[in-house]
Amino acid sequence: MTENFHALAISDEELMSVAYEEDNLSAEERAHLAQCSICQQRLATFQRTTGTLRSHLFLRLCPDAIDLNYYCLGGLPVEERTHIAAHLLDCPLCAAEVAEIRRQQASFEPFPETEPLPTLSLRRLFATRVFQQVQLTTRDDLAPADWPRQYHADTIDLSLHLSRSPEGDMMLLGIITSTNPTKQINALEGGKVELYLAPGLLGAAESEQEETQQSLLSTEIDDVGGILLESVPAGNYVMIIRLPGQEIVIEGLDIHYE
Amino acid sequence: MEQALKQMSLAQLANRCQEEMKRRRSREVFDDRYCLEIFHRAIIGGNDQAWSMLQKHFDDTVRIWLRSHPGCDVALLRDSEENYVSQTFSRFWYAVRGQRVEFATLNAALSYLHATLNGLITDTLRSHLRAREVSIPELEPHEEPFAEDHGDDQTTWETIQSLLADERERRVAFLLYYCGLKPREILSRCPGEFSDVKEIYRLNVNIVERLRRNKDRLRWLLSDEER
Repeated sequence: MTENFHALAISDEELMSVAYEEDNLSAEERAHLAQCSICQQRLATFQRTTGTLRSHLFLRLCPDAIDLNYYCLGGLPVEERTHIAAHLLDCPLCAAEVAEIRRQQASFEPFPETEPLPTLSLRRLFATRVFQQVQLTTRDDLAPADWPRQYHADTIDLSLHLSRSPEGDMMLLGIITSTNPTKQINALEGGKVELYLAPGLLGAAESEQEETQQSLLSTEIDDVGGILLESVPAGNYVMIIRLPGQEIVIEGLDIHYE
Repeated sequence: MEQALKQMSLAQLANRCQEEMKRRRSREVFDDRYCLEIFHRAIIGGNDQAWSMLQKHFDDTVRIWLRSHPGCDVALLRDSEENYVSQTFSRFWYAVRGQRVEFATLNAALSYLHATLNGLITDTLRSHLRAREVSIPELEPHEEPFAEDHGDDQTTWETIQSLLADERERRVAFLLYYCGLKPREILSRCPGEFSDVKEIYRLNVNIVERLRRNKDRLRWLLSDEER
């Protein structure tokens, strides 16, 4: 690593702790890091190398989870069993996984008493708009006055914002979060978001119509719950967010160019 | 009885299997030999019709397991229910057919089928975790860290090990990079292996320096760094 002879230079070990966001630097050391380009460069090297290694190697030596499950049932040939047993001695992730699999298998009941319906039940929830006393300002001043908007449905919160692209088109931006503490932050990732012209889709409440009407725009929720619909023409819309087992409907989205 | 079972047609077996399954579901005494005979004909006998019947009979059961799995929500964002069910049967088939597994009880057969589904879901969740590792900010969007032309994973690990000084460094490299643990997580997950977190930081500094010095031997692995 680069030699750094400054009296306050941060040690390699401390920089490594910063790279993992586990540091306990003093205020003085933080101030030094904020202004010392050499320490910053050393830190950047650590972050880049450790990040690259982790992204290339993460889980690459772990057996398939299916094999871990078969292993727990004693259903693998001797050679594979030996290989997995050796891996478990080294890998705390797979060891924990195997402990969990064994726990599940010990209490396995093929025909649980409370069985869901034969078809996946889909709940349709209509989001209610939440009015805030103090409206946040948008990142530009071009959005209509009653934006941004907040909506709530069951354990789902949605914040919708209007913004203009450099080309002058209107963009609809959203952040969706779950208030359910058991849901992981990325649990909503990949959920489909569709924008339909209103009225029609829901006003008629006819499934036949729903099946035939095409969404005007659609996108997917990203890994942090972000939603982006670009080039939204002026109009009145209904948004549907399709999540596993439920649909969230947001009505009354009137988007007008001012 | 065994002889009578062998002589039953698939349709007869299917009917009896269905009746016995109803008993099993309502917690009554049941006879699982009819269902097991279908498994036997499908797996050991290689009878395609028996296999189709087996899928038909247990399709709903697999769906119920999927929907009650704690990872179901996230898993269904990655793939459809249909695909999970069909992959479960397909992976189960390859596993049991290859080894010609003969199940002694219906519970044992369904445990195996359930294990297949459970593994599929976990693999899906793991691949999602892996994909998240790729999206770390240090990597440029155009990079493809998981391209498969890098050779064997085991060979890569052997190369890395050969560049490290001792078992301590190898152990830290494995835990940090292959398991994706942070230094403090290593301390809590592997108690007693390291004196304190500073030892892990120090070992990791050495690891990074050694691997960077040997970039030429790990070109595909560390080439991102030169960009």
